[in-house]
Amino acid sequence: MPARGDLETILVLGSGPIVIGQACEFDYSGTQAVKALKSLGYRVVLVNSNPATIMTDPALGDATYIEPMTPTIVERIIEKERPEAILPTVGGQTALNLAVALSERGVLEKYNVELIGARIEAVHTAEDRQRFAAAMRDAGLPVCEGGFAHTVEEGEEILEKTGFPAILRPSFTLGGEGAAIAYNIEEFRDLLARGLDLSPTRQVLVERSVLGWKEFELEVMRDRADNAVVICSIENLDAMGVHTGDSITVAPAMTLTDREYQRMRDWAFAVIRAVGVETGGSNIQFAVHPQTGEMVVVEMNPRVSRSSALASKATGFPIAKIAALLAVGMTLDEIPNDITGETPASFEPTIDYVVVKIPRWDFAKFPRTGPWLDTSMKSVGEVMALGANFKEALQKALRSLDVGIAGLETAGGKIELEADRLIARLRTPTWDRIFHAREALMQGISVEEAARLTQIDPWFIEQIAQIVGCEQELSRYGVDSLPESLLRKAKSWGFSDLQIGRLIGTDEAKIRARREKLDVRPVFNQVDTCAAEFEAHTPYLYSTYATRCEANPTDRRKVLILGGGPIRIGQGIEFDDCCCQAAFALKELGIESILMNCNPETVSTDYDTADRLYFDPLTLEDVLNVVEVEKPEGVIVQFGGQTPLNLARRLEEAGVCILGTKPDAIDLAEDRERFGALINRLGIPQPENGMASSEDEALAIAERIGYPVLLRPSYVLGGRSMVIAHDPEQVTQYLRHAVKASEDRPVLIDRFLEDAVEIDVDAVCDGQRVIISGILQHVEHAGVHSGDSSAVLPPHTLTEVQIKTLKRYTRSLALAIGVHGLLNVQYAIKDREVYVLEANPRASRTVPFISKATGIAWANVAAKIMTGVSLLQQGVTREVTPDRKFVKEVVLPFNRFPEEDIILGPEMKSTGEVMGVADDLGEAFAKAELGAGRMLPEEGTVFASVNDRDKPGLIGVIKALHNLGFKVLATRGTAERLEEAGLPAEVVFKVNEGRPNVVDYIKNGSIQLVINTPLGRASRFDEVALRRAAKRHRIPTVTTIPGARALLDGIRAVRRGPLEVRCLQASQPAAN
Amino acid sequence: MRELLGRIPIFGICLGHQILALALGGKTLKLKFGHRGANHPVRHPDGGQVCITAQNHGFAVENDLPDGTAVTEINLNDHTVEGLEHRVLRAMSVQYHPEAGPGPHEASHHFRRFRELVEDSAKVTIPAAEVEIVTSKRGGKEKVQAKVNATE
Repeated sequence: MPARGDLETILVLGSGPIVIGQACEFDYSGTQAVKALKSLGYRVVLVNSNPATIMTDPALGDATYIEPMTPTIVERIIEKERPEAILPTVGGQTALNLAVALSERGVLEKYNVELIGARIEAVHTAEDRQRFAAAMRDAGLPVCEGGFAHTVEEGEEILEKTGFPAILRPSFTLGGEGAAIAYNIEEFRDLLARGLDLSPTRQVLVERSVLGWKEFELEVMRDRADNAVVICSIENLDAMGVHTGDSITVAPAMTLTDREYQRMRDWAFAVIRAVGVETGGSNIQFAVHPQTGEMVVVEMNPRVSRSSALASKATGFPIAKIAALLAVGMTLDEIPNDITGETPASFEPTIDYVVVKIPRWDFAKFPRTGPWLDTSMKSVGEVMALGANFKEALQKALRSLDVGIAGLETAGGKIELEADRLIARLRTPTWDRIFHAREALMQGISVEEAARLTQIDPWFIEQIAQIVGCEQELSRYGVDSLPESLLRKAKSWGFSDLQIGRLIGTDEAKIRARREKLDVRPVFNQVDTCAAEFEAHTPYLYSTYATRCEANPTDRRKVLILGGGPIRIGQGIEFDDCCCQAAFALKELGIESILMNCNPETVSTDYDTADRLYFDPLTLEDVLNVVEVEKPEGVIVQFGGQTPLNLARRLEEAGVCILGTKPDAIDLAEDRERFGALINRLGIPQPENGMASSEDEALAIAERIGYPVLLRPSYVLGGRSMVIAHDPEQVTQYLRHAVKASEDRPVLIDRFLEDAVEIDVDAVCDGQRVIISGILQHVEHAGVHSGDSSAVLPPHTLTEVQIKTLKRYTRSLALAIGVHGLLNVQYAIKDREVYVLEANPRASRTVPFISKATGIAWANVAAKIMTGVSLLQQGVTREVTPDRKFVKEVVLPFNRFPEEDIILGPEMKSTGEVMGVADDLGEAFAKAELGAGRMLPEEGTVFASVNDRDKPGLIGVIKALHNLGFKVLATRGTAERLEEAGLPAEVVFKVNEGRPNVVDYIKNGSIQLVINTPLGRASRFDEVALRRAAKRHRIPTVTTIPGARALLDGIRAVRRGPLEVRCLQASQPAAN
Repeated sequence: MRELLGRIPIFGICLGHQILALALGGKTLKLKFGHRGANHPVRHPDGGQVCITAQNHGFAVENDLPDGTAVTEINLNDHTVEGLEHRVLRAMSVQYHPEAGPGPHEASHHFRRFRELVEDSAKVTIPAAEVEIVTSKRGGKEKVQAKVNATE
């Protein structure tokens, strides 16, 4: 059946901002789907509120809407674009939920739009656990015992069937949000109440625990001729009880017999047919009892998922692309397999290697949250590695994490734990349990015992034991006595040179030299979907220690682009977007683009983004291996964030040409002393600062420059462990408890510019000419990490003179640093003085946002500069100031970390961003807020409690809200100040003042908006309780006065009438 | 095989498929890339549902068969013959492994099909099948053709 001819325009729904559980894998799937539909000649309209996506590159779709993904807004888009069909299966849970909402509101019917890829009925059957369980029972497939609770009482009845521990899963939440395990009745009631609250349908599944059972996933595709194939099997190393997104996973499944696997495969087809997913991909999860082999169906996702992105990268089979083609009526046997070019997609990929995925967490950002893993996903990113065996893939994945480990080893030395504490650590799943398993085996705990304690299959523990055995063998030798056979074995088991060096007490370079002397070198093998049964035409490669190299490098002019590695807070999808733009730029210039990255979620690791793809860790050793085989004319390190930048100097020392801004220039901008001297010379002011290597020194410096001061360690980037100290006591606290200062690791102290306005200025420079690409003014004042602040482009309150100054400073910095490519400079304006805070001669988080706003892909321009094409030659000679307003708003992951306070500070916590665009600033704010998932109350009651410094600022906001008809509640101090200003405010108790207090009001639904700025430590406990209640009840809460003003503008805009939508293609100034 | 053809129902698997083809007058050829794996898609040459099968063979039956012998399945990767049927002689065969040990189960319907064939045969008295094998030599090559005189 060929593609449907009755459709002309198709609306593709994206997944919105990056959040935990829904990351850039949906940019990958969305991008693939848009490309696939375009290739069949359809007109593609797409909506995604996230500007930091390749999917929203205006060159990709026909009409690209960066608009909030709410039913109302999408209805406006449908009204305008009149698509015949909507594809909701490539944008994660967000897209699916949106499709359900559109259907329920009658929008689909009204505009006669068809859902393709998933019928509403099938979505309901898959997502509504009650219907799912019934469908499974009808198909004769076992599921977990349990039932659905709509109230706590109902839950307690079900509990009698399931017993403890009981699993709770709220319906229709993404990434297992709110899922939890209850071990006692008190905990059960508490967790159930929270789960009911989180579920949009107020429904929670209470289930028999299958904790400790082995967990498997199958990726299944089905077409409308009822052909069904399994693309990939995935085994979770961690047993049931750890969310699959937080589990180390392996493909293919390693511990199933063929009989068990085939039964699972049969069931998977039965599930997809029973649920009624007619076309597309689904992910089906199974639990298998480790002893009896009893198997149950756990759940299914009727859409492209995180696991399907992983399966696509693991096999080379592009699930999202094929899903899009199936959705428009093609069948699997009509679609060619891109990799072989000749065979059809109606086959099951074969894997002649092992794939390991390891999640990457950011627990350090959330100090109140323990390191425990459970059924609610907490990881922010992931890495994948391929190897000839499990040991190799595991160790390659571990060193890909970029957390200072070079394989299965413990960062920062040995784990020193007594035997019983170690055993406790083995029992409880944590992010670092695998290191404890290694330690336990080293201490002589048997494989069986370790397997029993961890509930990890003995086969995996045995593999770890083999690695431990090899470590012990290695440590008996010196670098010159290291025998070839042992070195070869260690390398084929994934040991890195750095790791072997640490084991035998020497450095990485000596091991590399020894290896080269003994001719122990890696080769590159192809990911070809068919285990070499057919010829593969797509160069998608991974390194391994085998005999035959399949790299076959070309003799074209070529450039290697290093990707960003795992997503983490502070290094997100923005950098992948830049890497992809670089690949596109090279293609345009006819230069072969080679991408190297280890993140399976990304567009950069799609086999058709760059000309060639190396899926390998971003370490010095691995990059040098690729450079040796490819011999590129240069390497681009400035697009992938810190991971590749950290390699720049060592690559240069190894004789690799770094394209664009040179490592020394990067150092000039990052080294405080050199940078300080530079800006002095240029006459650009910066806040007073100093460097302290002891507590006394720190106090003296703070005294000299005056409080408040900003404290941070000199050796970490991205706002880690950064605080603002208002008095000597806080400085002492910081140095005693948070960060120890020493000679080689001093603490940096800056004067903190209170209430300063922060600005990001981005520019491109070719060494001769500087073009300012955009100026972003932050909404929150200095002190909130730039990555967590909402921002406006073009700046909304700066004067002409200030803007001129910012541009002048940026130009002179770009030329003085020697930037060839991108530059981002952060400034603060306080009392009309412009201070420079830092200069980043590399891609920064702001690049995709500014590119979307200005209609120029700046990373593309920068990549061309790096290959020697000047701005003049590119015709990029004018600065673009858009005539519309663009607001960036961030998305914070606090719903995943219920223990954390939601206050913004100098440490970045957001996972993603959205863009709001409109002609009017208020409207743009409103869209940004809606896009970030925050409701804007149009009426009701506002509660205010602010510190003394913020009281004058609050008055204006409250006055405006009062005029809009809002009722005002406030704590005593705030209320008095409002009364003085002639504003009526009702006093409510703080938590510790009596009942009913503000939390009671929130729980009763009597408050629609909270304005609460931190009062300081004294009332901290009180405030945390307030903000936590507001978070739990999803009451919009602003914690800064500028944030409140922005929200006010948004409320006004929403009340004015419906928000207008416009696609990028229609609103952009022509690119010059 | 020729002795048995027409007298009793026959189901050939793998080498049995090739023997049946030869017995019916077909030929085999050596494949450039042998089929090895549990992931090979087969389908009726005119379309229909795709079946994933376990295969392990380096030769295949040439798609040039005498009248009466129908190709029931082809491999979608290289379009070589994967299944044959001779209705009158009640013979069928597949080049792959529907017994699925190891391998996917979805081709197991062939066993049902064969069972039906056996049951149907039991109901009617076996016609005295008159299978005449004609061999001729042309250009040094032996040509085998099955002439079926069976009455329906």
